[in-house]
Amino acid sequence: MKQSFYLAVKYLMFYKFRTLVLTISIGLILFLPLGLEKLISESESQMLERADATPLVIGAKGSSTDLVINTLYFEKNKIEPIHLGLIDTLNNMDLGYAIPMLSAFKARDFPIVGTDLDYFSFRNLSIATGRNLQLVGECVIGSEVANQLDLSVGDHLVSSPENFIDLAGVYPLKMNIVGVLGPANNPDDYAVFTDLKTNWIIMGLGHGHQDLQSINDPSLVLKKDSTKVTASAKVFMYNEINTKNLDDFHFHGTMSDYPISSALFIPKDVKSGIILRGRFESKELKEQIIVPSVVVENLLQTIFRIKKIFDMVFALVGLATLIIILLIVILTLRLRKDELFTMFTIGSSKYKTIEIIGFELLIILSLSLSIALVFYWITGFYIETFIRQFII
Amino acid sequence: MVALENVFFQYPDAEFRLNIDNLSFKQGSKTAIIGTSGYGKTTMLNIIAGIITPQEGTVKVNDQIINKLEDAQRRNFRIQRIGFIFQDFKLIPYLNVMDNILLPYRINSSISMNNETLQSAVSIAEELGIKDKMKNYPSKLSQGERQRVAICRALLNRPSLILADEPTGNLDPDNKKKIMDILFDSVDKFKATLITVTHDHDMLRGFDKTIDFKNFQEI
Amino acid sequence: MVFVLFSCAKPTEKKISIQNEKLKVLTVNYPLFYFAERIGGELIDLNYVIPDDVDPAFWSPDEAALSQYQKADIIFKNGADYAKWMNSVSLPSSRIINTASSFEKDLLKLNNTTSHNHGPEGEHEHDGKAFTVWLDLELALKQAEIIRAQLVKKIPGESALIDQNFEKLKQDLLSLHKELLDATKTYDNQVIIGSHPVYQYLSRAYNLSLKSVHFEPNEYPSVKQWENLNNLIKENESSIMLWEDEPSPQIQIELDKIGISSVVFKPCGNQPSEGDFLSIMHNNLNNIKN
Repeated sequence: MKQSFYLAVKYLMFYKFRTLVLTISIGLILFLPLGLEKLISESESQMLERADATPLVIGAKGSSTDLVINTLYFEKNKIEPIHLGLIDTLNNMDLGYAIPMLSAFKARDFPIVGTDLDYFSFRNLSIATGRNLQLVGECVIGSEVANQLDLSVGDHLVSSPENFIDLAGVYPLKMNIVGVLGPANNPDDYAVFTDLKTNWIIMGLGHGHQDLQSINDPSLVLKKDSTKVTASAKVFMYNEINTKNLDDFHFHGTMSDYPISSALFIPKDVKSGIILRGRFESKELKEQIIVPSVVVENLLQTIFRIKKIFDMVFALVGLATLIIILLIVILTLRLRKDELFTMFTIGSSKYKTIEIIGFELLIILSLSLSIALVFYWITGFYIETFIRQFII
Repeated sequence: MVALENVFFQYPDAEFRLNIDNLSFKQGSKTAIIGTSGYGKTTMLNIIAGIITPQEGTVKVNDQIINKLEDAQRRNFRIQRIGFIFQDFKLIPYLNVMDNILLPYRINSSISMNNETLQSAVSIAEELGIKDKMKNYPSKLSQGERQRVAICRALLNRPSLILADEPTGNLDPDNKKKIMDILFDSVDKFKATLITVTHDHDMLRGFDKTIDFKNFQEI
Repeated sequence: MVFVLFSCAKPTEKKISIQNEKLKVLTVNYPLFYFAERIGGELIDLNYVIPDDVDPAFWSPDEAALSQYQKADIIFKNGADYAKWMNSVSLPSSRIINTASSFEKDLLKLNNTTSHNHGPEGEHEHDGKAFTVWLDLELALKQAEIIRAQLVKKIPGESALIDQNFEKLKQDLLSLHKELLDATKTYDNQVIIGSHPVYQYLSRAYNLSLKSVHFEPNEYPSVKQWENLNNLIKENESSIMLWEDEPSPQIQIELDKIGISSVVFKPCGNQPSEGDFLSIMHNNLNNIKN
């Protein structure tokens, strides 16, 4: 047997390219259905875990799927904003507590998520390096943001000019990174967290500029009287917040009217959750309330239907590949007729020949399986990408 | 000593028939079998080697009636006692020279490979002038070198019978003579019986006997 | 004898008691701190992190103080955009309680203060509100009521004690309110000058006609400032000026010259060095009476 194995190895090593092609193609065929199964089942469990960990989401009426995806995955989609005042209304109902969420901007392709400190304790997010948010203009980044952009505490991130909630103004802001979160294995790893007010500054609802009372440059002042100073658009708005200009930052209008994308609601108990849902259903409140796990389960049903089609396709492809491989083996044996006859002539038996060919196939299969396992293992790192590209 | 008596062979579903009434080869003799293609010379070699069995008659090699043996017995007999040299060398392309020489030991467990075997392989390769080519593959060898490898493979186990089917068929004139000289020297050294099938009349010098396969008459 | 000794030597069982951590409460100014202290007492872990020498309305916490606010279970805020620093920091919104939420519509806009707009689209006005709501003791009571309600929600097991404490505070505030109403009746026909625009709610609640200037008790005013004051006095025939603290002797001399009496009415936004909110307000009341 040792000798047959030796001859098999010699054959495969000599015809490296052929061996590689066969190994990789069989490996891929073995991997594809398994890999897809892993992607889908792990995506399903991750998405359900994320959804189950979020009791209730409240947002403007419209697509509940879009609302869940924006709130749980911080994905870009068109949802109408709601007002911050709703948070107080919800908190005052004494049925639990609400966490405001605002995902409207990105920083180098990672979503900026405006929220408050309650979000971190609710999601059990821990600070790995640095500290949590304290001042506006600061941000805390997820572990993947830190890894992929090679950022750490003390670095800066600038918000991108585009936004995805149809807002009139976007004012890029250079944010200070004060903390990096530990890995959470969920979308929080891919987010840039800021205080809600930082997002509003990016939106232009708050800003900082030099004291208009003390401006000497006449081109910066449109009108001035004893009670009011009207400045021109030339007045420089700070695009970075630091300890020197922090006190110059202010907000206009009433904060309770300021926009947020949605609110997470954590009810005190099951009964409180039901009562709150009842209040929305009775139109006491004009927004919509959704249970994320229900929405995600519906979303996943669609994926499962598509998966069944993929399974059928893979089965057919697998069968076709098997036939082709069988054909290749038969043709190869035909090509090797001379070689095999030589061995037979010298003194090899039919069974010896089968043994040698058997080992060749076994080695190829083992290598293919190893390749399939490696790809299978690698797949685990792409679950999040798969969810983002193909499910949500 | 090899003897064929009243041998009759016919391939299934073919018209060709081989009839040998009485043909024998003395131990240690060097015999050349000549004749035009299609008369069954290679078939006869295969019958003597036990690769195929005649429907009738006896084939005796060193007092062993090999056509009465079981498949496995004939195989083992062949690998232990007979060295086969083919016209087109029949080297295994994915094995280097060393592995090609050692091939019989890898395909039949009735002969086992040990350090002595390896040393013998090196020694025989040196004798045939291809020791420095041990790591080369057949595609990197000349025709003459390939045939020497084939001879090394056939002689490694010191067979008592060497069957050569057109051993110089694919060689240029220079190499033909060299190969035949090597073959004769080896046969003398091992005191083996040599039966060679050949078209090449130029190579008949050196044989003890030449038989015309058409009528089995000695020329 | 040996048996007795042995049984005496037996170790007593270790008592294991589990103490629930007290509710951590912080406020943005002293009046709210006082109300929380009166109502919550020993039931809560109440802290005051504002330094003595600042006006809480214009103070910003350092990292240590901010950290305390971030860890608090409840932060009572004054409302009316009092603590502007809250707009620049990250705090958990579920734990911030606006003690002015029940009377938002009663908040007063700032008059005669400079705001700014910037455009071209930005004709945004600064939404300035007067913030010393606690000087209207009825509003102070409403603030205290919100504190009470929140503490009862968080410590329902002690609601009886909390309510009891609140009732006592309520009596104190209402009684003081009545006394202030009586005391300020004598000022019906007078226009009082306020040294600082911090008496809006006092003036509304207690029917005082008040005009404000910007005088600091320890800073001798400029010529222009004296001019403004003189003009106000002439226009309104005022003879009384309310001060947040005793004006310096230098200032008092000048005031005497123009026939202005100083009445100290401390807003008590920050923790006093002596006394408490109620005692300070009583002092204010006495000053008004005199």
